[in-house]
Amino acid sequence: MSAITGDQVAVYDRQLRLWGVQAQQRLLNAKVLIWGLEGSNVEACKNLVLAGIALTLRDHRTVTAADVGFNYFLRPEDIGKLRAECASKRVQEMNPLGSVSFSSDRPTSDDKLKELLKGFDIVVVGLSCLGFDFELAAKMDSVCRSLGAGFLLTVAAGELSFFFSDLHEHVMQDRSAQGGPEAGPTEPKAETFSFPSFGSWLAAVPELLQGKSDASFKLIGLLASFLQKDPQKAVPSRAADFATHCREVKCEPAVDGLVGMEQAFGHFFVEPLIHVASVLGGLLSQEVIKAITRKDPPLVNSVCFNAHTGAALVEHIPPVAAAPKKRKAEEEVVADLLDD
Amino acid sequence: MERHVENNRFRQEPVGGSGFCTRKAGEIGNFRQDSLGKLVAVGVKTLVLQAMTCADVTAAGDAAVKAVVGEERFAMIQSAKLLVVGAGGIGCELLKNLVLSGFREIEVVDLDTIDVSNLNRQFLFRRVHVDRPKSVVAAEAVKQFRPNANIISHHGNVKDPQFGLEFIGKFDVVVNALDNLEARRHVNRLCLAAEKPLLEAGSTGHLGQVTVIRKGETECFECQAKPSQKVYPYCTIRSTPEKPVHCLTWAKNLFDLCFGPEDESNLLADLAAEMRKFQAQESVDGEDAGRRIFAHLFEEDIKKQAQLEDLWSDQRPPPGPLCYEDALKNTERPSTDADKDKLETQKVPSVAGDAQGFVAAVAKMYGERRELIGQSSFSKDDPVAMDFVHCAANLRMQNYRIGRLSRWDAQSIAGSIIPAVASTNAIVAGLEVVQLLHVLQSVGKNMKDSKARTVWVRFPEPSRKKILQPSSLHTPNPDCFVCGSRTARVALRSLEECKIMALAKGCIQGQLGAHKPALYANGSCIFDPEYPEPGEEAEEEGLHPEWSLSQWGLTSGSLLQVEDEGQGWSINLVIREEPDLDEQLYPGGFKVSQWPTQWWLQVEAGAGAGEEAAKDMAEKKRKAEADAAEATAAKKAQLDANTVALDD
Repeated sequence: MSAITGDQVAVYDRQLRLWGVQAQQRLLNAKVLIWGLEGSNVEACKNLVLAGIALTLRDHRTVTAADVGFNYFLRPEDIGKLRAECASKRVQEMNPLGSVSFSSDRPTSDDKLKELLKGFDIVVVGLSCLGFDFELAAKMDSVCRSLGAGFLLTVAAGELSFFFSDLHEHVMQDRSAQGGPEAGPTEPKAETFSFPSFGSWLAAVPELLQGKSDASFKLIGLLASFLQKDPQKAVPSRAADFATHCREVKCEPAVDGLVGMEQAFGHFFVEPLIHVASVLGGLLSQEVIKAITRKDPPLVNSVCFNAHTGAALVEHIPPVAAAPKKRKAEEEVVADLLDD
Repeated sequence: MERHVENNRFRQEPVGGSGFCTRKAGEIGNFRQDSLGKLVAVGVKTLVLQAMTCADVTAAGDAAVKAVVGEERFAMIQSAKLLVVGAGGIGCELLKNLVLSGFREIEVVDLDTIDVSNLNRQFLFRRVHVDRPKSVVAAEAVKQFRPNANIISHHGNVKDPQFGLEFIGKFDVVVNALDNLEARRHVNRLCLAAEKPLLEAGSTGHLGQVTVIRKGETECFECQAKPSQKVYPYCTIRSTPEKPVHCLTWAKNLFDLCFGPEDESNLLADLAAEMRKFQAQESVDGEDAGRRIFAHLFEEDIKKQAQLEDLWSDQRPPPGPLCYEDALKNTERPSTDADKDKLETQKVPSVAGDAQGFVAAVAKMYGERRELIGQSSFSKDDPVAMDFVHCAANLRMQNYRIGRLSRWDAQSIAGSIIPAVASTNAIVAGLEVVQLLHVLQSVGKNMKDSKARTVWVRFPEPSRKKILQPSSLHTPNPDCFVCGSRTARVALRSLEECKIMALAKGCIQGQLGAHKPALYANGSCIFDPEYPEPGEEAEEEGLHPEWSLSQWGLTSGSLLQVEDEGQGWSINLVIREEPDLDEQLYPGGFKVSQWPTQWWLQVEAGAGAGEEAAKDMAEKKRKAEADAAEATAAKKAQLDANTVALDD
């Protein structure tokens, strides 16, 4: 591990005071792949490059006016050029101490997929960049498992934004200190977290649709079950078919802020609202940072933010049998009172 | 190449106003409105051909937002006039979110300039921008995202008079992105007075919070007491420090005393003659001055302190003097196992290192900083000032047997540094826009029926499955001295000793958050913020800032009216003398408490709780009756006060 330079200390001062030198060193040595410059991933680029993480941006798509209208790393003169290449320049400018590279490769074969995922600690993938191919996402996750890389998948739908995270068997070594320099050090306490694969997430979709999960998660599940074996249906013109599918599988969740299933479907194909991406991108970045620094317990394993209610929910999908409640902690009582 | 040719062709098209002229009717950006009025994406090829100008980018971006929020909400977004207060960590994220969401009319105020330590999260800034005004650079940066946005930047303090009620009146909503209590309280009052909704947000490390304030419907920022900056008793700082923070407070005062302008209120003013004597000299040997100051502070003054016998006991042994030569011999560095992972600046230096560092910092001030002597003040970002304060505080800790600190930790405490990262600010700023949309929708409607909420950013674990947790907005606190009763009780240790100027500064500005308060008693002005110091000018106005409260004829139970014209805020203070007011808890000599409008409920709540409680009740009742008498006096005096206000 190379020592942190004076220049780095000056720039990273405020975060060094949050997570400490060792965590920062891990961030500086980490390599993260952002596959798909869309939605919350754009926000993750910003948060992670500023944290000092080396990024590779991958996207095979060219820049459109709508991209420039949403992705502040792009400019009008980039239209028609490669997204990843154009964005990487400006992501790099944001932190000259960091390292940013780009690629426009696509996974043409299984071997190629493996090659494209090699060498990263964490891979963050946007579903839209994969052509809404849930099966491909599951395959990527299993390759990441074999390579020992963490895998996160993001999906956005207007005022809703979602991510799935798979850190396999994640060992948390320490927690953030509470109370600043006058509080003194605390004894580190390791803890292991087991994540289900995205394959088992997909396998649990029928259960998810009929279960007690929040409506926002069900909407993502419905998209997965609708597109199963046929990602070609991921076009706005199939909204009516989607609504029919929802009726057929007897799952029409009432998501706060959404009028009907047709409208909900349309939202998968436009960029989310920037502030929704800002919120979910922030939560996603925290998970990447937790994974790399091995500090603080990660969220297992699905997170959904709904801008209509302002809430971001965390669920374990497939659900785990609830452990018997030992005691109702004081914090929970307070939470009860705070709850709507 | 072909594409470039097309590019030029399209750029030659007149792009007046909307920039829609190159498109077929019904098409907006890369979306087409279908029969249901919803927007659906059209082919990428058409799009590349069409969207060549900035106006097209704006149209495409706007169309995406409109597709999600609908026509009605988007029209509100486009016409809303916003004031953003602060262009720092939250401010940068917020401006980006607002501009890319389609907000077009934004003004931003920030007094700060850019520092290197901002660059890890204030993503609109680059190294070349260091020392430039945050508001200006941030506005320039986000304007690149949407050239049609009308963003006006102000480099200034939101407490300055040009940002008063008239200014606030121009906006539909005020959105805070502040980092300090003082400014938050000020903006809160402005928004209440101007009846403008306010979005309030804050972040500390991984935690954050967003809420909505609207007069009469929700709690205001000051409905719940906020922990104010800790004030330490004079004696603790001057003679009996127990914690590093006491020594750091002492060292900061020392820096200002040695190198700043004359200031009677400096806690170490009694050392002024000795500390400032080098200032008058033509040429100073900085090393020599450093050693002399060292000898005076860490050796001679400590000897004197040690002789004050009634201060010391077995539990609190007297401090040990330290002479410079002995200090230089103490070269051992305290070390622990954890040191291997630490930066050099995170390790505690040797006593010799502190002594040399102290002398070197004084020498630097009298050397390269010679010009600035007499006008410097402590800043955590000034390396020489920070070296001075760190070394001086550590040497004092050595005197008092307190564990010394690394420069890193000393800077954290002396500068009250709050750890900060981009991700938390991004979450908080995003949540502010969520609430902003709810507020815009609730214009003319009851806030209770809206989806506006307080949202808490939890970390690292969710609370009841929620990592972002909304909770209902609270109704206003009727006892709030800002938006409610506007009456507070001030207990003072001594009316004889408390000067009116000290009350204005310490209590009314410091504790009650006024900016420029005027004080009235019995209908006449007894303190005018235009004349805060005693002098001929004040006297001509019949004012005596140095007079005590008794000299002004105030007694226990008297009523004072405070008017802050700039904030559009006023308050009645019921004065009460409490000679036994705890000095440790209230080093300023005063205690402020709310005036319960429904004091009788408090009395009844305890009814029937046994004999001891009955005793307590009797006492409470007696106090309540006294309060009631005061309240009547208060009401009467308020009538008088209103007359005063009208006269002005």
